[in-house]
Amino acid sequence: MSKKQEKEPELKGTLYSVFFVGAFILVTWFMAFYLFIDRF
Amino acid sequence: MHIHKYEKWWLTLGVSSLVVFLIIVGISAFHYGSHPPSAKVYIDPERVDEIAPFNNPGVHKVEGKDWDYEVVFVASAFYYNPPEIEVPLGSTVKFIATTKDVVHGFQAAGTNINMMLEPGYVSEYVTTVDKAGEFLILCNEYCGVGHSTMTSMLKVVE
Repeated sequence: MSKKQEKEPELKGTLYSVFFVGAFILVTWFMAFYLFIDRF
Repeated sequence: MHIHKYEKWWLTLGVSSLVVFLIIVGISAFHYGSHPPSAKVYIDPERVDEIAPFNNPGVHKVEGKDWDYEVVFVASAFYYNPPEIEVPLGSTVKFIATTKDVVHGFQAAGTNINMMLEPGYVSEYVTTVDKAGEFLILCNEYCGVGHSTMTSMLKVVE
């Protein structure tokens, strides 16, 4: 019953890219939200 | 189904940021009562000048309400009545506006006051003016040849 173990793809670069885009979205969202809160 | 470890990380992060954004929007809507600046008030656009409060545009001090001043604006191609207003710093102001002809915008640059004025509807926005200065009110819905000159001025004075 041994299943052939496939090698995991190396996704470190993808991880960094995804987190970079995610961080950009988060930061810009909070910047816009701060602007909204700060203004009357 | 096999999901890569990193895929789990970014899926979790993506879904949780969506949840955080929705919670913040939900709290501001249901707890702080934020809503689009349109009241469910109808008005005959042909008779705006005869109907209160639009028969008397300008700044009006009011008592016993949640706000200190009511500011009444009538928009028409291509100007606002009144052409400028003055309110004291720190006062709570209710902006009440409508249009006599086509769709106009009502935006005070540098503030969150930003409404669409539609013929037959009354738009309202309540805010506490906590910054002194002059804020240009302008039309941000294209309304015709004079659109770019359609302005008024909000002065917040100490």
